[in-house]
Amino acid sequence: MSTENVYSIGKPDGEIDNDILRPVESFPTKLWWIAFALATTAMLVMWGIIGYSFKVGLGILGINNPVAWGFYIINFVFWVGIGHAGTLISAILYLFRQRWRTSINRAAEAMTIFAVMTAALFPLIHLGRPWMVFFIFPYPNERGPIWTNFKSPLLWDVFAIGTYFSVSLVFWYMGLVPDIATMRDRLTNMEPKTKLGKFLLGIKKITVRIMAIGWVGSAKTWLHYEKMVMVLAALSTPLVLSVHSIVSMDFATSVIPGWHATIFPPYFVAGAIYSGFAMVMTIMIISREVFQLKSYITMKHLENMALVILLTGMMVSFAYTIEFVVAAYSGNGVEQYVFKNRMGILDHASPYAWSFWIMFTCNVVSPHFMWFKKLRTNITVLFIISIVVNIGMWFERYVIVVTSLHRDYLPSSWDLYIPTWADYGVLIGAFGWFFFWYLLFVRALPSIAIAEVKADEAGDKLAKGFGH
Amino acid sequence: MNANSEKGNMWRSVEAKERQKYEVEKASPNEFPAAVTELIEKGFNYSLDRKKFLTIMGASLSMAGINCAKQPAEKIVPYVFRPPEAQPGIPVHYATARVNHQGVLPILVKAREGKPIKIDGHDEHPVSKGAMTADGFAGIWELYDPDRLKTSAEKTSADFSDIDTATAIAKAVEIVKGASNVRVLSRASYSPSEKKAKSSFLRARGSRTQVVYDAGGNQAQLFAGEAKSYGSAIIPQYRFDKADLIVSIGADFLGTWITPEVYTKQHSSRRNPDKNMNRLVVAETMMSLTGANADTRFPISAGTHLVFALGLAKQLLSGSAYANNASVKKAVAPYTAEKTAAITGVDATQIKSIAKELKKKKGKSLVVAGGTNTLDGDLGSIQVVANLINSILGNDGKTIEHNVPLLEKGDFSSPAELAKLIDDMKNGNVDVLILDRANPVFDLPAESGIREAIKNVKNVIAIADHKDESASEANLVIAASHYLESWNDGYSSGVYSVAQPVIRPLFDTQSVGEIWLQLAGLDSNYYNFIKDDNAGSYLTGSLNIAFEKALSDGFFVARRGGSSSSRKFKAGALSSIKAPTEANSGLTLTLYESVQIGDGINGNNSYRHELPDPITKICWENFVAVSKADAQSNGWRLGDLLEVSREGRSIKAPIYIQPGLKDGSVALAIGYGHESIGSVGDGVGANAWTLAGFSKNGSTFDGLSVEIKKVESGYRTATTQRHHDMHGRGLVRHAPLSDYKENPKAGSIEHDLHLPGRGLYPVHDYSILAEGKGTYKWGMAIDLSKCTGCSACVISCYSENNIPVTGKDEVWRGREMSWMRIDRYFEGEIENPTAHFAPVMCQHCENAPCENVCPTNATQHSPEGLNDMAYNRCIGTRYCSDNCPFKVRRFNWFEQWEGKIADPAQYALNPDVTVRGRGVIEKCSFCVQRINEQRQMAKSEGRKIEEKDLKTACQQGCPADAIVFGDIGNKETMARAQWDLERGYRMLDEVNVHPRVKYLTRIINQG
Repeated sequence: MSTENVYSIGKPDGEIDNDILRPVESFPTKLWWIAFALATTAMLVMWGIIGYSFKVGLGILGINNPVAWGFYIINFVFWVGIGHAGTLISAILYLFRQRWRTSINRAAEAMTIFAVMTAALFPLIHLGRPWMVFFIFPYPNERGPIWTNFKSPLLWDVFAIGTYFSVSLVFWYMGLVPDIATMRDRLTNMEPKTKLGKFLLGIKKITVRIMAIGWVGSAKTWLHYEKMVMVLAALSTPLVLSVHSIVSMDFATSVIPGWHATIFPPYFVAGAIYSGFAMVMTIMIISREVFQLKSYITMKHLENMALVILLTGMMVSFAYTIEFVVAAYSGNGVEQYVFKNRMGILDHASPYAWSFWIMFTCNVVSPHFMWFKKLRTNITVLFIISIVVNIGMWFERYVIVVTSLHRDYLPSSWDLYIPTWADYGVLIGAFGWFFFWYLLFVRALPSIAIAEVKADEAGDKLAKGFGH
Repeated sequence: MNANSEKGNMWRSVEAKERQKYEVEKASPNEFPAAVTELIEKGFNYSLDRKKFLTIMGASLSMAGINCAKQPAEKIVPYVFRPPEAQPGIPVHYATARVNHQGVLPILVKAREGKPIKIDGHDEHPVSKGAMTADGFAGIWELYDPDRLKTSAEKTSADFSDIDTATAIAKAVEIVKGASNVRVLSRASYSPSEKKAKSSFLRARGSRTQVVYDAGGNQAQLFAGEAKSYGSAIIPQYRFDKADLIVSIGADFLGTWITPEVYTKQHSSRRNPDKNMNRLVVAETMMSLTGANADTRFPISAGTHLVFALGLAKQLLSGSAYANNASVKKAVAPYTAEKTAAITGVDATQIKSIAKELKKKKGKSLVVAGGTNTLDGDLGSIQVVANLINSILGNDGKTIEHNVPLLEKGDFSSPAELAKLIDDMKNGNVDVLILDRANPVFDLPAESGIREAIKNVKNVIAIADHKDESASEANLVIAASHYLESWNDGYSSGVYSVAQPVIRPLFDTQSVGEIWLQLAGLDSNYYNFIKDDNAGSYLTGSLNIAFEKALSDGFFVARRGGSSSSRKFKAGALSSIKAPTEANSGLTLTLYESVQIGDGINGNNSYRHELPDPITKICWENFVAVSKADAQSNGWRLGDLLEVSREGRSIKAPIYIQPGLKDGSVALAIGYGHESIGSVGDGVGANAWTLAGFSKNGSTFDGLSVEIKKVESGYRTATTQRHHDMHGRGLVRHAPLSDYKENPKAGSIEHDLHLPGRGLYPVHDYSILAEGKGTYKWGMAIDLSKCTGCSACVISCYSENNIPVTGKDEVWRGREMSWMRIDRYFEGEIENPTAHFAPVMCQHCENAPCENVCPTNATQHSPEGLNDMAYNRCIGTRYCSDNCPFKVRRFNWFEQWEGKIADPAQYALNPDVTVRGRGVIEKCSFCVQRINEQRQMAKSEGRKIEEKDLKTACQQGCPADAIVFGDIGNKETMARAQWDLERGYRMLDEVNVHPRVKYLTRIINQG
């Protein structure tokens, strides 16, 4: 992956502003409205189901005694994983001076925020008594000697997700400040025709002014700003590794065969980046088409992301292999049974072998198309593979959660997990919730970091100028 | 106050005006009578003259003297001075008995604040010794069944209207008085007083008035067989504890046959491999609980139980006292080992070898035969053959005690009399039919035509506790009380039991004894009747004192039995026996009684339906059990709904592929398929009596030739266990007795164990125990050699711990709430597998995986080693449930109680145990409420808890004494002794969770 500037937009700064802020400053298109309506409907269905389950109980879901975690936890791990790409791009790639990240980092970070918001829903709504969730926070209280259990990975989750969300949010917002200032400055040029327009513009002006927190763009400001971004990037970097490691410990610290594996933390991190990049790619391909940002999000970006997907895909495949090898090597019959059951190579039926083979095909086979330059520079192929990878990664969590639980130690307690309408409703609704926020974001804030693109562009010009 | 009248039509606000309107509407229309001024002037009673005044005054005085409520002297009165034994919060136990058509079950009822909350066995009873079955425990919910008749009812035109029970009885008396042909159809009764009350009614109407029938047929068959073989209709006392070798031909004596609780206790007392262990051989069609516990089990084809018995008799005959008896010789002659083998499907060598074994155990063996599943249309025939075998072997008088029988005076009518009654009914010759707790429309074979016949009876009077199928056909339904609400007595095994009411009738009902007394025109005080007219014939000494003692003890030993001389077998009885001489062709059905539902009389009890069948683990349904080969050859798969038809009648039930069932044989449980018993039982399962045969020689339940076709697939059958293979994981360990004798650790599986203490977290510190600070180390040992899988413990646990029933759909989803379950695994060939049982409850692990993962610390280790659960602290992450290797934690998926429980079912709840709300995890607590109750008592008396005082509900419920609970930190206790046995192992010890439950390897006596 090249560290050179991948852009050569060759437009004046004002034009760049125009290009990037076009979706923010113009009225929404029909396509946006349709997408927004769909997302909102799905979201409302989800909230309806959540409300209903609050009222009557979790029995409306398909979970049962051996399989006490189902779609909710699968979705939780899936969405936390999705978020990782954003932080990786904005923090780690920043520290490594990967300049191609510039035009995608804003959207990827936004995706992180919304993915974590989606993910964080699930631990709450999967509780039997969500109104008692405050029991999980370690604050001084009068409930006697009972406090939170610091041995529990679920408690670690609370800290991990909480930290991750707050750091990501601050990082994202700080990155937005110069661009919001640009918006603020450009709003003065607008001339609303109607009274209502004037009123709304007034509100927008105030909001943007507050959000720009008095950004003046002086050299001193920039100096401080660059330092702060560096510090925040350094703070975020360990989170890329820690959050999904801790999520993986929900499984790894248990005694359940198929969960009880030391490889889980790195395996989950690789998987998270794998699925996160696939999601970024899906979104980027759509954005660059819809908002005509092809000169900002270039084929080079997509190709680089494709290479990350190839790499992390192979890491995930390696982890799968290790799991099986360890099971085979362990001499532990129960462990071996679980993996045979996953693959469906038993002398009796394995009801969930199909999910393993979906996962295998999507995650292990599909990234290898990325070896070929022709394929990884083909938008259609990339788009399909990005979606296929995410389907595979969702099923990876399905395999881990469901197949491990449905047949554990005592064959007498083995049972099936059959999701209900409520499970599917929340699965789809979570995407609605995510896209609800994302669609609002692309309409309200610049989805490409304008200042950074300009800086790169300027640096490029400078380099060229000095070079010749 | 009427705002309108005071303020006219003025109002302050819209709300005020609306309110005014509402108040005006609400006011009584009679508030302002027309002649109000006249009334005010002259007074309310102005029209009352002196005569009228006196009339009303007199009536009022006399009415004040009449006590409207019936208030006999023996009724409970509110405490003015609280008796010392009645402490709020302290349970009171009453010794009483359940006396019904099954016999006499001595019970101890635990009452809290005047409400019975749990039924337990009566430990001091000389015969039962506290043994109980699931059936016995379930009675508590039948008392509080919201669908029970709350008052009597009368049919006017098409619909029933409620009338009070006293009126209903008066009406019944009127109806009976005017009628010429009155008949009574009734179930058996083992209460001398009830019988006597009834007989005073019957006496006036001739001996043929009453017909007594047996829906399941177990008892009637045994009485008939005994009468034929030995001349007197009794059920002897089978002494399973005295027999070294037991051979059962179809008799499910551990599950459903006669008194399974007593037999289980006796049998299990001989399942100690360190002492003289007995051996159980079972030949049967459908795998029963007894068959599943057999050391050797012979699956035989449906309809061939009699053949097997005859074949066995033939092998045993030579050299015996009956060897030269012509009738005997003639009867058994066709059934050579080879012939028997060809018909039944058992190997000829196996028949010979079992006969050889029996011959070695003369006088020390016991052969039992019979049961619903052996009724072949000739009542008692199989008993005659079994009696012959026992007489040949000299068991009669030794392992079969007949001098003091279990049940005597079996007043069952012959099948011919029943057939005659139905004919009479059909022909309109019966004016009044009184049904005494009988539901013939439901539980007589459809072939009998009872359903049509009952419509031709002018007046049907039903004494019933539910508006069941037969009561629905009645003109008058008299509501009968539950046995916990009634006085009664019972006589069984020479022991006279007095059954006392533990609570006043919840509804307007009367006990059956009272009802009969009134129908007979006698004084309705049943208590006096029992005490003064009956008890004297059983009790000795001063009646008042003896009765009082019998009341508080619950029983009085009137006669003691024991070994005696053998009876003379009447060989002539064999002459009428007709057994098949050829093997069946096509599909042959056998009908059997299930452990949980029995004959279906209590089909409205959700707990019975939720209790999984011990063998198949299916609940909320009966099913068509077929062999794997039959299913394959017909293309049937699990999830198919089959239609079973015989002679134009058919029923639909789901398929179950039953291991150990002969090809060509099909089995189906009776007792299901109620149409009208209540909101729980209606439509649950299919009524198998539809298919049964009926003749004047007896009903046919076995060997019915049927046709089966698939009608639907994708049918959801609720089961608590879908997987039956142990996968070699050594969960239920077992070993042959011979191996055990050489190596006490036989059957154990060596695992690469983790070293203790090598965990991430420190081990629990119990050093306080070592210092003798007066705490305990609770532990449990479960002897798998004794456990029969009967599930009495499960239902006892349900009752003790307020465990909710979830229903078929939820069980299908895998959400049953049982805190303990019986795991059942099959091992070996599918044609004849070995079944293994293990009760599994929370194992209270030392390294409990659930404790580490709970984010809120809701589940914690107690200083005594219990794994405690704080429901209030639980937020329902279910992580503990995921991480439990035993999967014994249960989650409340829905609210199970609030708004769900119908009055008066809430009274069955144990006030000592929290009722869990929606969204929390629950699990076995080792009955911590009992531990704490005993701890308090011990503390106040300055001593330690004594082992005999403390029993968990499952331990108390176990008729086999397989479960022992106690302080394993104390070397003196029984629990510790069991815990230290070399036979013990901990389930999943290789996971390093260190359970506090030890299982003792099942030892199988393979002879």
